[in-house]
Amino acid sequence: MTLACLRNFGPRLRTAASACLLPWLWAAACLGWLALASLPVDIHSQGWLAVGALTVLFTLRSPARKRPMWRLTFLVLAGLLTARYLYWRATETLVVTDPFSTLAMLALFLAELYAVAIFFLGIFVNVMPLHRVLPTLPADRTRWPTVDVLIPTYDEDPELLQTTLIAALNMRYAPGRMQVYLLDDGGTDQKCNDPDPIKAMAARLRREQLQALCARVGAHYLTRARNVHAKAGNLNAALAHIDGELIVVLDADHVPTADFLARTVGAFLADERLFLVQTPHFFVNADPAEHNLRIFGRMPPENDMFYGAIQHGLDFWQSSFFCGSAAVLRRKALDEVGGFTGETITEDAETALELHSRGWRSLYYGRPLISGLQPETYAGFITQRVRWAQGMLQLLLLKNPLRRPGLKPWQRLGYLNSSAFWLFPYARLVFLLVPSAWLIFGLQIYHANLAQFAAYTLPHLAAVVLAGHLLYGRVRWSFVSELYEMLQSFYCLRGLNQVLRNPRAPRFKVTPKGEVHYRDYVSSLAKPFYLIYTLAWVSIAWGIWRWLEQPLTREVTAITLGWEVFNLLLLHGVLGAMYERRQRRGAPRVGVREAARLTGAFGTALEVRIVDVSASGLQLAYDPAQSLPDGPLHLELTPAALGRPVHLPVIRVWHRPGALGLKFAPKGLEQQREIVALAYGDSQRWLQIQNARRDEAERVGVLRAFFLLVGVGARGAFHHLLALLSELIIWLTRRDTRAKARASAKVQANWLKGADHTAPAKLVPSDHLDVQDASVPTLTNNPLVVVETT
Amino acid sequence: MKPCLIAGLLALCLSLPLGAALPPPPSEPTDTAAALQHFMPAPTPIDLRGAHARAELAIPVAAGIEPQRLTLYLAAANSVALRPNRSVLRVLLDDVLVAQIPLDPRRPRIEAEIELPVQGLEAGYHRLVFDVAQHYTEDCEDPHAPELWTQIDTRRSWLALQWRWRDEPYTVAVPERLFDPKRWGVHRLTIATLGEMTPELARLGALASQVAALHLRYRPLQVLHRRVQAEELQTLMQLAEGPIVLLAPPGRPVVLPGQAAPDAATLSVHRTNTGWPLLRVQGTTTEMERALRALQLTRTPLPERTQVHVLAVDAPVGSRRTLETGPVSLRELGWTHDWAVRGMYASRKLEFRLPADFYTPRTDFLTLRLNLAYGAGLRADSVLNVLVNGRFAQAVALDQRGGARYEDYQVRIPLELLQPGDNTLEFAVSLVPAEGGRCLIQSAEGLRLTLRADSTLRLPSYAPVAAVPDLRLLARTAYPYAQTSGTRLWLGDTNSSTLGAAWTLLARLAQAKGDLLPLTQVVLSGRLPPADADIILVGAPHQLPSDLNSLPPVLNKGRILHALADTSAESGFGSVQGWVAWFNWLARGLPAVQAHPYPARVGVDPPLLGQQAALLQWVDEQGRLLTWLTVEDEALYAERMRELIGAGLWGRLRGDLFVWRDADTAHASRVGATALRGRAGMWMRLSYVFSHRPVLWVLVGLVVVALAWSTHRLLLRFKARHHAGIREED
Repeated sequence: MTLACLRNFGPRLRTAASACLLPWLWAAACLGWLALASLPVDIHSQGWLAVGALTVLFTLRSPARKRPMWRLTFLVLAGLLTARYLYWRATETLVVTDPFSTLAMLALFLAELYAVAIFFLGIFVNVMPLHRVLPTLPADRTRWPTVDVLIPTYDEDPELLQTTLIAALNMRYAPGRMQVYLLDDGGTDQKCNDPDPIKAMAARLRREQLQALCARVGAHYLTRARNVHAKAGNLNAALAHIDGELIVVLDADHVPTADFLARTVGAFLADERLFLVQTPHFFVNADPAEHNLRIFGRMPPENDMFYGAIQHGLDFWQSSFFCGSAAVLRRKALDEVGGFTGETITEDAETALELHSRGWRSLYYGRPLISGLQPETYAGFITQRVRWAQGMLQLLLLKNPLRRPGLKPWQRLGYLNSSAFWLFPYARLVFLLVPSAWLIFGLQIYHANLAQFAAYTLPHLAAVVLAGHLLYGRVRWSFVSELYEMLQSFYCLRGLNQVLRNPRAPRFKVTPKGEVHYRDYVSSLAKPFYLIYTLAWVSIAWGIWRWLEQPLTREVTAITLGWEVFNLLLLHGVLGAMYERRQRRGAPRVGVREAARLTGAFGTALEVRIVDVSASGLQLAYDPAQSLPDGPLHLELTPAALGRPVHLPVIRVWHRPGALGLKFAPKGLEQQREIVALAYGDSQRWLQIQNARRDEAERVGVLRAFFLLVGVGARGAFHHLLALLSELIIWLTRRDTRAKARASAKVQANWLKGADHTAPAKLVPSDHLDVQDASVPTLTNNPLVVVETT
Repeated sequence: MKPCLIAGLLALCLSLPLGAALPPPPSEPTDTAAALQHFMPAPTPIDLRGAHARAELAIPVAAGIEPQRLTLYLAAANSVALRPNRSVLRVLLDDVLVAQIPLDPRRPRIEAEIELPVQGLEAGYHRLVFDVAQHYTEDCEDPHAPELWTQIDTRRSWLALQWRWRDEPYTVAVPERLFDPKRWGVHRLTIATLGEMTPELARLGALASQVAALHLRYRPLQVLHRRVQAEELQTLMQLAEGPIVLLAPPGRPVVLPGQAAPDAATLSVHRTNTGWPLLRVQGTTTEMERALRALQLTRTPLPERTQVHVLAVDAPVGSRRTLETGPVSLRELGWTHDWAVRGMYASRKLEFRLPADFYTPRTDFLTLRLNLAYGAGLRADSVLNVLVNGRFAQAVALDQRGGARYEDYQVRIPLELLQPGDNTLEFAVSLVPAEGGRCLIQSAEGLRLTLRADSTLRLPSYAPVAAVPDLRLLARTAYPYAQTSGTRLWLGDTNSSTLGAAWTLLARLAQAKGDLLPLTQVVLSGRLPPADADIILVGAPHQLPSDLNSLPPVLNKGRILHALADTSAESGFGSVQGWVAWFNWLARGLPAVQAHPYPARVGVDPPLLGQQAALLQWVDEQGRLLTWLTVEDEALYAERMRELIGAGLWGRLRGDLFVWRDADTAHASRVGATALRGRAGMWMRLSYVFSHRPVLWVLVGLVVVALAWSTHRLLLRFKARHHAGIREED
């Protein structure tokens, strides 16, 4: 017996010993790591370390993707190179000279410090992402909690809302245990009684429209008396009228799949303290950069990094937060904090922070269960991003996750990472402008020679890029972050400064969705970037002169020139993204590969393959040797979301051999629901698209990504500049014509006042006008209203 | 009158037979003859370029001699493009024109014998100036045209000096007359001792050598030993060929020939029959040491007496002032006044000394903050170049047409250009007039620059760490024997050759240090001193003490035993070609040589070194640094030491093994391990080790894996605690 006890005791002792020793070992290893990071050595030794470490990193790239231990080794080693760079940077390169140089030098150093901090926070957050499989719902439906689906709206198109409502109603759930509510903030009492009669009429019209829509589809219509606290206020107002145990929040354009609830609700039954299941925001259209640069579908969407990597990391650290939509929340938790808190304009993250600090738990489920729309224009995109930037900075300033009681240390770091990230505009603008400080003005921004740059800076940059590729390579191409940061920096900076001046000042601005425009044009928001772009070219030209004329400083000039060229190449992408390509579809098509059957009169049928589909129509591919059926056409297939066959009437829109464009002609709500289910109801389709994009992204290496971006950026910038040139030529050649037009417009204005009646006027939407038609005068600067003489 | 004038002018103008062959120059400088390159920092010809150029040499005249005749044998060549009626080479001595030589393009080779005036040629340094005016056209010309040149061959040009001793008594007040660096020839000092050699006497001899060497500043001093009996003193004084230091046996006064009775003077100086000084040191050991130390002082004059009794000496034993961390002005470093430049080209040097154990791992800089001003009318390519130890380091562009004044102009010099020990900072200015070219009157008189002496130099912080063994550090700074308080000398034998070699080495090391070495003990063969001090050993391989607990690396490994074989001597192991091991050893030398593989052999018999000498260093098991000067045959010591202390070989010392026979067959190598010395803490020592052995970075792998593994385990623990029971995707 004694021997048996000893035998049992041994492993326990070992386990206990290792449990006690492990933190000490970790602490000792950390100290060793810090010591190695700060050990000053001469340049040759540092060079050898860099070469060796980078060799190991390159070797570990593949195994690090598969095995957590190698992943950690990779990240620790990459972090060491960066830490050594930072130590060297702080101790050997900060030399005070003249005031301007010192200022520029410190600005650059602070920007780098920020970038390194975000890098390490990113490693922390993404060190061990969690990819959950959620528990399923029990067979006993009586145990299923009641669910209220809330769809807040402000000014979205009713057609868009109809699709979302129908999809919400299509969600598979226990009958009677789910209600769908449309929360109309565009038809509130306040709006309906607006002093402006046109606005009041529009609001009343909208209210009526949406009420009729809800009645028709079977959803509930809710509005409120006053528009306060924007979306959070809208949701909170609805809480007073609903009593479901769970709440699903969907943006107006976020169309849920049929299995949304089936896949998410089960987690709430498994964990009583769970307040949130967040799912990814999956988009079926391109963001402005993807659309204007023509890279949609070739690389993962920009938000895939957050939903495809970071949220999984935050989930591990119990700090996955509510993103405003595509999420299920527990009513009881919301009641504890008084609903959706609205001190910041990102009420979603703020609510989650509040609940986390009260010990509630959240989780993130990475399967796309909704499909939504990204802003179509750069202006819309910026509106959205400025709101996020302002909101997260408000969170940092007003809620300070680092000191908020109740949060665990890892949660604090998670929220710090999420909020501090949005300070990137400051750093990005410094990185954009600082090279000019040396190239043009000769300010001493970086005291290092070429050897030091090669031994310290380049390995650090390589380590950051490689680590980024390891952590995010499946969800983002390398250097895409830099491009998007450049795109957002200028306007986000203004927004951030506003928050810094007055943290409570920002107002919620709705992101426009579903915009269309029928011609290409240069975004009016591009102007600040012209300055930076011009500055980059001037800097490069000046830098070349400096390299030729000042041989003593050639090393610094060469390094800075390279940096500026890098900036310029990415600025091309920025310019390309600001050349708004026409957007003719309000409802984008989704590529699919599904078999179907097209039937016609007299039993004729054709086996077809659906190529793409939207709520309004679809494109088919068929064997051109076959002939199309005649007569009224119907599409027969079994959508995965429904699990039963459907028979949908369709109308031919266009046809060419092997391809056919059809639009749906539903008769009744049932067929509308089938169409929505076909187009948007299958989460497996979204998952396949998502995975296909990520698999492709993984195959695109760092260098290839860079050159691809350079190529598309160059093309985009070329078109942008060409358009500018065209407009300039037009402007120059039309000066006389404009003068005449102004004179003519004056006559017209007098006519409108009743001075003269020469011809009737009519209102013409501006997008039907050809601006090259100089005979059309413009009276006002309202782009929607133009008086045209007939 | 006129004929005399003409004759005088002829005498002044004509060089004795131009074109006649000059007598050959001396192969090495003597007291009566030396090539011009002997008086130059580097043995290079003198190039005089441009329409007007000037070169100046400092010609020393020793104290105590009276020059009788000074002849310059000049060998030069001029460009064939010169205009003969407008080109002339002037020779001036102390600004007095002594010769004018027309530069004839038809006879471009110049060989002239010029009698230099000796009147007024007192002891000291005299300026010998070569001033040339040369033109290639009668018309206006480019004063910097490349065809305007004259070159003086400083190897074939030489000076012959006939002199006699001044009839002045020697006094202890002027030690310079005893050990005069201005003498042209090889400096030799004979230390004569009476009776048996004792450790105290050997130590006093070492002290005397160092004192003499310090007075010679940087001129190499060969020390010879001679053991005499009392009755041989007369012969000693009759046949003296150089200065002599006579060390009496401690406690026993010495009566010199001509003295009636012994005297109590511990220090006295006498004239030998040949005119050389003889310095007698007697008394107790303490008194003798005190007397020699007193003689070392250069700033505290001793009485104008031929003998003194030194009662006390209170002078710190330390090294020359080294630069410390922090700013120091150029004035503090020896620039007594601002440097004002007028003209196109000028340079000025500044010497400073860095500590021997100066280490900084970072790419740090010596920061100069210059206060300077320059005048207007300079062309944009005017520049002030800063050179460190002869290497270009930085430049200050003087490109403001209207002149400028800079305060605190920062120039950063990479520390890698500096060396332990003496360093030279040179400011070389090139002021080019803005207007120039053909047919333009140019004046260099308005070209001005002033560099103020309150400009500063700042050394960054450093760690006092050095790696030993390092013969280069030894040669430059006498490290570590200059630092430690207990350097000991071990002699394998007490014969004159060994003693002379040891004293010569110590004298040279004292010059490197700039002060006396703290030699606390001398051991005459037998056991080594206690293990609390570094040791300098002088002796043949077979004399090495039996208690040496670790042999030098060259004697540890059988292969390297071969390496010390003298390739010029036949050995019992066969011809040179058979000694493949020698090539293998050379492969590890500096500079690198192709390595050839060879089968291992073990050699056990001498001869090892043959005609060569070796200087080795290694650290023994007790951490002592041992420096060993050795030859197979002690009779070779004198010759080998003469070669070693010359600038040619001494400056090539590096590694931990140096083997030489002459300047052409010297090899340096590193065969043993290194150890760190210094007061640096563990952190700096780690930094040093990692800097010098980058392979240690593989330890990074251990730390990285340990951190990754422990982090992984902790994360799994976290996961088990906070995400228990969850299912994850595959």
